[in-house]
Amino acid sequence: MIEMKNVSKTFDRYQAVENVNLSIEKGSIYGLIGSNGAGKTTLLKLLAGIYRQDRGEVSINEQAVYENLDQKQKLFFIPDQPYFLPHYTIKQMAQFYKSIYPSWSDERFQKLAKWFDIDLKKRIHTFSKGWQRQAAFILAFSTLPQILILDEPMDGLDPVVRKKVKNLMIQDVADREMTILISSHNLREIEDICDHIGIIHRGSLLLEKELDDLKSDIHKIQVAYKEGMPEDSLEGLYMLHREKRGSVFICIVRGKEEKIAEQIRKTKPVIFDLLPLTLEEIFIYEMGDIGYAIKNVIV
Amino acid sequence: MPSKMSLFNKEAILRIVRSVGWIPIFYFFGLLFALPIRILMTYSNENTRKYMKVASLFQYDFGIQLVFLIIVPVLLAIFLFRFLHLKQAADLMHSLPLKRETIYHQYSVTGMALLVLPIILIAIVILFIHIGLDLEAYFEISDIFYWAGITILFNLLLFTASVFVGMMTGISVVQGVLSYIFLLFPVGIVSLLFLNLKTLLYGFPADYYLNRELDKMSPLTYAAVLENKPFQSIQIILYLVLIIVLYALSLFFYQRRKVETASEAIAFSNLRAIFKYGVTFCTMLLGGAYFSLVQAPFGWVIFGYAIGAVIGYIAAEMVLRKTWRVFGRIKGLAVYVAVMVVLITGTQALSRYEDHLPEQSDIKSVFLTDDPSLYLNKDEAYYHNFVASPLKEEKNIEAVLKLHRQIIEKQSISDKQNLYFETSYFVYKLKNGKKVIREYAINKEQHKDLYRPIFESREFKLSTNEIFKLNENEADRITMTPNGPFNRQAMITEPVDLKEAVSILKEEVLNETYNDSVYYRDNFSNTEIFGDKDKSVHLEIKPSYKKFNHWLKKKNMLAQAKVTADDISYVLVARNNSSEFEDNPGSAIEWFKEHEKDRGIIKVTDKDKIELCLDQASQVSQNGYIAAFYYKGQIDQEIKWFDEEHVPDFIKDHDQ
Repeated sequence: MIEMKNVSKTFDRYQAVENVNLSIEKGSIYGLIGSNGAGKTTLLKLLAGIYRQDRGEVSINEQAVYENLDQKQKLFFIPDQPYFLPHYTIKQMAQFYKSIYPSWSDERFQKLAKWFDIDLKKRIHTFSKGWQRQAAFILAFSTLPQILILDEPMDGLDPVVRKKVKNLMIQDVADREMTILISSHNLREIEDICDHIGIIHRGSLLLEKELDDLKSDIHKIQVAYKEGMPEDSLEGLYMLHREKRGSVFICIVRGKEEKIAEQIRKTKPVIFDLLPLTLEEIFIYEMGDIGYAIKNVIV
Repeated sequence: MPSKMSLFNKEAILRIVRSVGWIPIFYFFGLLFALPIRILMTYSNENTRKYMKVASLFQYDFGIQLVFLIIVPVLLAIFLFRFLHLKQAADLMHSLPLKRETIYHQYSVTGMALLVLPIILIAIVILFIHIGLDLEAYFEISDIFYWAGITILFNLLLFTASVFVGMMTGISVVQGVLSYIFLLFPVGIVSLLFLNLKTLLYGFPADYYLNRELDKMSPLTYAAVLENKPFQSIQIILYLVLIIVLYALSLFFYQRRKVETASEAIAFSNLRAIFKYGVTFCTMLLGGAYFSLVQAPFGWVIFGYAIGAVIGYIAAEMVLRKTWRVFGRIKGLAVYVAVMVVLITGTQALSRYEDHLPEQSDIKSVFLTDDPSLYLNKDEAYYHNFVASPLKEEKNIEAVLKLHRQIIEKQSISDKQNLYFETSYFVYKLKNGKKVIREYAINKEQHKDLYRPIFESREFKLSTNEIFKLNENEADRITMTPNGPFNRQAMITEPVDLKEAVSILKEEVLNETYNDSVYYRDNFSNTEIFGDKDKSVHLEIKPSYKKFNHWLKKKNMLAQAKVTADDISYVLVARNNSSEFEDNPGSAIEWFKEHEKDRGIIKVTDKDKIELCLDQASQVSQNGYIAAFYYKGQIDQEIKWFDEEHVPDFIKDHDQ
C-alpha cells in the first residue's frame, strides 16, 4: 500500500506538487496522467525516495520512504531517461544491482536477457535509446521489486517491445502481486494495462479513480423520439451532457446501466442505444471545464 | 547490521575505482618521477651526487610535488562526487536502497584510500632505494616517514575540503573553483582586510601582519613553503582536527542536501545570499586594495570599492542564475551599498586607534625598523636567519616615542602626496605582555632630527646590525664586490686578517653617524662576511669607513674592493637644484649628453679629483650637484649626487 498524505514539494519558489493525497493498493497498476510539467516526475521521485517532501507524508506500508532502506529495497525506479553508471555493460550493471538489492535474481536476469536478446557485454551507453530502455527493464525486473515506478516508460519503444514489456508487467502483477506506478502524458498509451488512474494538473491531483468504476458509472446514450424529448420522464437521470444531432439526442448519463436503460425504455424511444465511453470522453465529461483544459493531455 | 555489511563490499569499491582509478595512477607516476627516479638520476651522476643532501624529501623536485599535491586531491574529490552534480546520476544513486551515510562513507573513505595508496607505495620504493644504495648520507629513513606523513596529511585536508565544497554546490566546475577559493580564503580575506584597514586607519601595521606567518593560514600557501620550512607538530594536530571536522560536516550537509540541487551553483538556498554578498564584499575589498596599492588618491580608492562591489555582485548573480543577463537585478546591491557606507563611516570614527600610543612606563621594549621580517622569529626555517633584538634602554624608548608622536602629529603632511617615503614599523612590547604595533609610510628626511639619536645610540647599533652577532673568530672569509659594472672581487681569507677586519668593521658601524649612513647608502662596495655553516653577514663599506678603507689600502686590497679613479675616464658635474632627475637617472644621462659642452658643466679628469668625487658622492638624490661618472672602456655611465656639504671644494670654486 503506497500512500501520500497532503504532500507538497517546492523547487526554490516553484511549487511542483501541491497538497497531494494518493493511495495505491498492493497489486494494482496505477497510471498517473498529466501534461508536461504537471508534476508527474516529481511525484514519482517523491515516492521513490529521491526527493524529500516539504510537507506531508510519503509512505509505503505505513513507513516513510525517504532514507528508509527496508522500503527502498522493495522498490525500483526507472526514470524517463534510463541512466547507467558510466561505461558499464549490462553485466556490470547487473553485478552492481545484485550487490545492492537483496531480492536480485540471477535466474530471472538470464531469462530476461535471453528473451529480449540483448548483448550483455556491450557498454550500455553505446546502445540506442530504445535498447537502453529495454536494458533498464531487464535490470528492474531482475531485482524482483514489489513496487515498480516507471516514468514515461513507453517512450522510444517499438510496438513489439511495448507489448513484451506490458506482458511482463501484467505477469509480475499477477504472479507476485507487484504494484506498478506508471506515469504518462498519454492516456491511450497505458489505458489498456492500468486499473487505477490519477490525473495530475499543475501540481494537484484532480482525480483518482478505479477504471472499472469509471466505466460502469458513466454512459453514453443515443435516443430519438417521434415527438421530442419527454423532459418529465427523464428527470430522474443524472445527465452530465446533452446535445441534439438531427433528431437524435446524445446524452452522457451517470448511473447504473440497468436503471438508466429501464427508465429510458419507459419513455418509448424510437431509437435507443447505450454505448460505453472511451476513457478520454469519460474524463472530459467528468471533469467539465478542467477536462477541456487538459483534453490534449489525456488523448 | 546490513548497512555495515554493504559499506565496503567489493562491488562498491570496484565501482569507485572504475570511475576515478586513473587519478591515483596518474599521481603515482608523477611522484615516481619527482622522487625515486630523480633520486636515482642524481645519484648515478658523480657530479650531481654531492648536491643530493636534503633537509627533507620535499626538496627533490618540489615543483612537481607541489603541483600534484595541489591538483590531485581536489580533482579526485570532484570526480568522486560527480554523481551529486549530474541530475540523472544523482537520481540513480539516491533511488537505490542505500543510506546517504553509506554512500558518503563508501565514496569518501575509498577516495582517501586511493589518495594515500600511491604515497605509501612511493615511500616504500624510496625506502628500498635508501636501503639498497645506502643513502644515509643524503637523507634519513625518518625523512621518508616525514615526507609520506606530511604529504598524506595535506592530501587528506585538501580532499576533505574539496568534498565539503562539493556538498555546497551542484556544479563540478564551481566545486573546483570554490575549492581553491575556500582553501585560500583565510589568507585572502586576512590580506584584503589588512590592506584595507591600512587605508582606513593611519598607522595600521598591515605589512607587519602580512609578512608574518601568513602562509600558515592556508594549506595551499603552507604547502608551497614545505620545501623550506619543517612542518610543526601543532599544525599536524590542527590539520587532523580540520580533516575530521570537514569530514563530519560534509556528511552533515550531504544528508541535508536536496537531490534536485544538482546543477545549481549553490546547493543550499540559505547559502546563496551569503555567497552573493560574500563575493561582493571580497571584490569590494579587492578593488579598494588595488587602488591603494598603486598609490592612487583616496578618491580612486573609493572608486575601487564601488566598482569592486558592483563587479562582484553582478558576477555572483551570474553564477547563481547561470546567465550573464542579470543587469536588472540590483535591488540587493543598493541595500548592500547602504550597509557598507554606514560601516565604513563607522571605521572612520575609530580614530582613537590612530592617536593611541602606549605610556613609557608601560613599555618593556620596542623595535623600530623598516623591515618587519628582521624581527620575525624564523628559527623554524631550515636556514639560518638573523633576528634582531628590541631596544630596552629607557632613553631609547623615550626617543622612539617622541619620533612616533611626531609622525602622528605630522600625518597630514607626511605620506600620501609624497612619493619618497619609507615604511617604518614600531613594535612595542608592553609590560603586561601585550603588543602595540604601528606601521607608517613616512619621509624619513622630515623626521631625521628624531631618527638620529636613536640610530646613533649604541644599543640600536648592537641590536640591529648582524655583524655584532658574529664573533671575530667565526669569520671564514670576506668578499668585497665593487658597486660598478665590473666583475672583480676582493677576498680576505687569512684568519689574522679576518679577525682584524671584522673588529674594525664593528668599530666603524658603531661610530657611523646617521647622516653618513643615509648619504652613503648603496654606495661603494658590497661586503659579505661568511661565517660557519651557512651563516653570512651582509654590509656595505662606505667611504666614511675611513679606518677600514685605510686598512684595506695597507693590505693592498682597496683597488680590488671598490671603484677607483682608474676605473673612471672622466666625471661631468653640474649644478642641480631641481628634483627632475630624482627617480630617473636615465634622463640625467641624456641631459649630460646634450649639455656636455655647456659652460656650467665641469669636466673632471684629474685622478685625485676623480677619487675625491668617488668618495664624496651619494647614490641617493641630493640637492646641490649632479654628476655623471663615465667608466673606462664601458658604455655605462652612473649618475650620482653631491650635497652642499659633501661637494669637493674644487667644484664649488669652479661654480662660483
